[in-house]
Amino acid sequence: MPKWGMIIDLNKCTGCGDCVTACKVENNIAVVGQEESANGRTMLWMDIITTYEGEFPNVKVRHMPRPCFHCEHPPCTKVCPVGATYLNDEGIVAQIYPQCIGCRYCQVACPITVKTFNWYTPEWPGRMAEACNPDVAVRPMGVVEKCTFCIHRLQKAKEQAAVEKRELRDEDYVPACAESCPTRAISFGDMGNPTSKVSQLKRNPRAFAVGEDLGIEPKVYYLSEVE
Amino acid sequence: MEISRRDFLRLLGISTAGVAAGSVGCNTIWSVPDEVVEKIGGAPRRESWKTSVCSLCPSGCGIKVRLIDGIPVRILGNSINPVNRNGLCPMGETGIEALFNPNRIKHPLKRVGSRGENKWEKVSWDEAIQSIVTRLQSLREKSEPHKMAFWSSQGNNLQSGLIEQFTTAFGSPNFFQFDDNNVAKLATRITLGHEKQLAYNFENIDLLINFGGDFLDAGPAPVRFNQIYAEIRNRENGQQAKIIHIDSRLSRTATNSDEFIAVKPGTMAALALGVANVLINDGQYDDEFIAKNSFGFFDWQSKEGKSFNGFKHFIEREYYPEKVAKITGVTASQIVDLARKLSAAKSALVLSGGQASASTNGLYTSWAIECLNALKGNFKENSPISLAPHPPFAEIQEVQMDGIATKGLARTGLSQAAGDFCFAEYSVSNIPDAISQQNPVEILFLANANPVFNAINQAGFTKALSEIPFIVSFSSFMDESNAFADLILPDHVYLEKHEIVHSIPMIDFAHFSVQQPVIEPLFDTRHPGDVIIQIAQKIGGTVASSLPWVGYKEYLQDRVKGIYETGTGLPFSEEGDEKWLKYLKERGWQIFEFTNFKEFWQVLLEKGGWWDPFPQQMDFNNVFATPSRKFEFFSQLLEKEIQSHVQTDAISSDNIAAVLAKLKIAAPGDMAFIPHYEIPHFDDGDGRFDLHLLPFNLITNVNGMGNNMPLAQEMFGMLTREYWNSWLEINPETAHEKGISEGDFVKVTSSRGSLTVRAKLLPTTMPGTICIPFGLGRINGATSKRVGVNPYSLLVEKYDHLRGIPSLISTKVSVKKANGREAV
Repeated sequence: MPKWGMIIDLNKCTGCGDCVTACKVENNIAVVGQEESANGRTMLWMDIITTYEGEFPNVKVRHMPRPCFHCEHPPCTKVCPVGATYLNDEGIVAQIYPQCIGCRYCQVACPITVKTFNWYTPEWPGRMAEACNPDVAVRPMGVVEKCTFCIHRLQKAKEQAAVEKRELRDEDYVPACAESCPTRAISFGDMGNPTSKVSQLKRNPRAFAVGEDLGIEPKVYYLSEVE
Repeated sequence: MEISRRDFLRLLGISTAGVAAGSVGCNTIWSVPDEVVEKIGGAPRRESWKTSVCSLCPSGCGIKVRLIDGIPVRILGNSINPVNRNGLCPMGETGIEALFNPNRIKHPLKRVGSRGENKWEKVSWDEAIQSIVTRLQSLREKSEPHKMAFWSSQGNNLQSGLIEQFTTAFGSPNFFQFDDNNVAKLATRITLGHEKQLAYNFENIDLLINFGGDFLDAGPAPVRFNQIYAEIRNRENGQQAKIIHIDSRLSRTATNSDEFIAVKPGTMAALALGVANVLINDGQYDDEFIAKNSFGFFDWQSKEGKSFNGFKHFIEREYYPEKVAKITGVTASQIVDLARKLSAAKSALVLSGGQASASTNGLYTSWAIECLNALKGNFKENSPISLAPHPPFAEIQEVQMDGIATKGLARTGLSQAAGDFCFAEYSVSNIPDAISQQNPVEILFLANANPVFNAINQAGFTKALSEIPFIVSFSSFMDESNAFADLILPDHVYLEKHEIVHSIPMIDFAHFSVQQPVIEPLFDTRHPGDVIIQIAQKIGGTVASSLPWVGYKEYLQDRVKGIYETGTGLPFSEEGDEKWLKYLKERGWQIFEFTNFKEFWQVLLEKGGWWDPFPQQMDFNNVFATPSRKFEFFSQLLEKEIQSHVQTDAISSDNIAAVLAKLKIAAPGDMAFIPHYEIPHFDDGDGRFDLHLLPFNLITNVNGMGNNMPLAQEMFGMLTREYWNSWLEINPETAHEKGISEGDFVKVTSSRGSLTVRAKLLPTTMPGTICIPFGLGRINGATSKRVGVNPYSLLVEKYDHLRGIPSLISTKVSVKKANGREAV
C-alpha cells in the first residue's frame, strides 16, 4: 500500500497563493462572502501561514503553505463519534461527508487547525454552479471538511490505471495544489516507496515537519529556506 | 443554489448510479448542483481540454481549460506555453467565475436615465451600431473627425493595431492606451533612443539588483517572475544567484530576495548614483564599453567648441556615499558594500520598476539606474540584456486616408496638448482638462479602460466623462466609467473570444499566444473588433477600405500569415524538446512543415501559440538610436527636446533656466541632461500631512481586474488574512505614535479626500509611511455593498516632471483613529 505524502520546499515557495486558490476551485470550496469572511469563516483547505520576525528593515517574512498534514496518528479521527473521519489504508485522512453530524469535535482536536465547518449551505450566484468540478462532492450545511489530498484524483488515476491494465505510477496522482504551483515548490508522491521523489526529498537535511513533537507523525514535510 | 441534506443524499444516489453505469473517473461520493445534473443527465461526462490565454491582466499567461461536456470547470496553466510554463496566479484560477457571473451585461444597452443613475434599456445590435454610425458620419461631414476619441488598455494584443487602423483612417489623433508599459517606453527613449523594450535573461546571472520592481505581485508578468525568482535561488547546478532588493516597502518581492535595502520614498536615483560613484572611484567599470559605446562619460567638447563636464566628473563631485546616505537613509557603508557586490559579480543585472518610476523624478531615476547596467557593460553581446524581439506579424495593409482624415490627424491629440512636460505622448495629466476646454470630444469609445476607477485625478475624469455628449463602452461588466456611457456594446469574456496576445514585456524570445473560445458565447455579446470592422464598413469610403476584413478572426489570421510565410519559429512544443529542436535547427533542418495556413492555424490553436526559441544574436552597435548612436550619459535627445521648448516658448536660448523652471526641473543648466537626483515633490497639504502613502498591487487582484470574481475578492488579502477587504499597513512604531492598535479603524486623509480602513501593524512597512493595496473599492453587484477602499481616491495629481506619467507615491496623508460613526 502506498503512503501518500507531500514535501513543500520553502526555498522555492514565493507565497503567491496559487495553491490556495487552485484548491478552492478544484474542490468546490464555498465562497462565504464579505460578511461571513469578516466573521472569520473563510473556508480554506490549503492556507498560507505568514510570519514576521524582526523590525524594519531587518525583517524575515516566511510563507508556509499549510494543507492537512494527513497524520499517521491523527487526533481528529480519534474523537469523531460517528467514524466520519478516518485514516484510510493509503495514509489519507478521509472524510465521509454524509456520515458527519457536525459536532466539530475534530475541528477542536486538530492541532494544525486544518478543519473547516460549513456554517451555511454553499451558494453560487447565478449560473456559477455550472462551473463546479463534477468530480468533487459539494458539502451541505453542518458538515466539517478539509484537505483530502484531492482523493478524487487518486480514484480517477486508479481507474485509469486499471483500464490500461498497469500499476499506478507516482506521477499519475497529483493534488491540485502541487499541480498548479508555478514554482514547483510542492512535490507529492508515495512516501512508502524509498525510491520515490518525496522519499528522497524527505531525507534532505533541510527537511522538517511541524507537530512531530505531538506524536502525530505528519505526512507533510517542509524543506527549510536556505539562509 | 440550495442543497439540503436530503437533496444531497438523493444526489449521491444518482451519482453512484452513474458510476455503476460505466462513467469513469469519479469519486464514489461526488454530487453536483441541480442544474448540472439536469444538463448532463445520464451523459458520459466527457472530459476535454482547450488551450487559450488568460486576459484578466496583461501578462498573457497561457492556459488550458478543462471542460466537462463542453462546460469549462477548471483553468490550469498551459505547461508548454513558455511565458508561464504551467504556472498560473490566484486571479487566473478564478477566471471561470467571470464567465458565469450573473452581473454580466447580456445584450446591448442604451442609457435611459440620467448619467450615473444606472437605468438601461435593451437595444438591438443593429440599432445600436446604426446610431453610432450616424453620429460618426456627421462628425466627418462637419470635418471634425478629431472629436472622436478611443481609450483602451493593455497594449500587448493585436486588437490595439485594429483600433489604431480605425482611428487613423477615421482621422482622429485621440487613440489613447491606459497601459502600464508606457512608463518603460519613455525610459528606453532616453537610454536607447527608441521605444523598443529591453528583455532580460536570468539564466546565467549571479547577482540581481532590483530597484523597486514589485515583479512578484504586479506586472508585467508576475507568474513568470515568481518562477524566475524561485529558479535563480534553486539552480540545479548549485550556482545560486543573489537578489538584492531596494525599496521603501518590504513587498513580497523584497521578502523573497536575499537582502533588502530600505530607501526613503523617491530617492532611489541618489542611491543608484551613489553606487555609480563608488564604482567610478574603484575604477570598477567596463572601460571598453564606456570608451567605445558611451557618450558623455568623460569631459567633452561640443562641435561649437563649448566644453562640458562629463558624467564621471559630476558623479565624483555630487554623489559621494556620505552625501547619498543623508538623502536616502541608506548608510554609507551599505552603499559601498552594494557597489562592491555589483563590481565583484561576474554577471550582474540591475532592474528598476514600481516605486523607482512612480515618483515625480521617475524618468531621471530609471535613467540613473540604467547607468549602472552601462557601467557594468551590460549593453553588449552575450550580456543578460537584449532587445525584446517581436514576432514577425504581417503588417496591416496601409491605412487609406481621405482629406478629412488627414486634416483631423494633423490636430494635436488630447495627451500631447500637455505643454508642461518634455515627452507628453503618454501623459494622462492633461486629458480631463483638454476634454473640458480646448479640445472637446463628442464621441468616446471605451474598450476596457476605466479611468474613473484606476487613474489618478478621478474627479477630473468624472467631470470629463459627464461632459462628453456620447460615450460607447465595450465592457462585459458594469464599472465606474461605463456608468457614464450612452451605449454599452458588451464584449465577450476572454473565454469566449479570439485574440492574439504577444510580446509580454521583459521576455527575451519572440512569442505570441492564441486565445480561442473555449465555449460558445453565453449571451448576446460581440467582439469589439467585429463591431469596429462593422462600423467602419458602414461609414464607407476610405474608412471601409482600410478595414477590409470580414471579421476580427480574419484580421488575426491575416496578421499571423506573416509568420507562416516567413517560416520562422515554431508552435509551442513540449518541454525538454527544446534542446533537441535547437540541435536540429542549428544543423539547418526545417522543424515544422505545414502544407497550408489552415493547418498551421489548427496547430496554433491546439498548442496555444508560437515562439522563436532561437533568438538572433543582438548587434548592439545597431541598438542605440540616440543622436550619438551610443549609450548617452549626457542625453542629447533631452537637450534637443528642451531646446525645442525654448523655441516654442520664445525664450532666448541662453535662458534655459526659465524653461527648466517651467518644466519643474531643479537641476541647473547642463546638469538637467545628465542623470541626477531631482528632489521629489510630495503633496503634504501645506504641512498638514506627515505620512507617505505607498499604494501597492496584489497578485490576487491586479488593478482591480479581479473584481468580477467573488473568489478573487475572497482571496484578496490571503497573506494578511483580510478577505474581501482592504487594509492599511503601518509600522508598529508609527502606529504607537499615532495611538493606533491592530485592527483599529483608521481615517486616512489626503488633499483629495479621506477614507476609513482597518489598520494592520506590520514590520514590513517603513516608519513614516503607510501602504494600502490597490484593487478594491467597488460596489459589489450582488449585495450593493462597497468592498474595501480604493487608494486612487486619495492620490493627488502629481506627475513625473518629464513625462506626465502619474506619480503614485507623491501623496502624503494623515492618519487618525476613526470614531465609532466613521468606522461604520
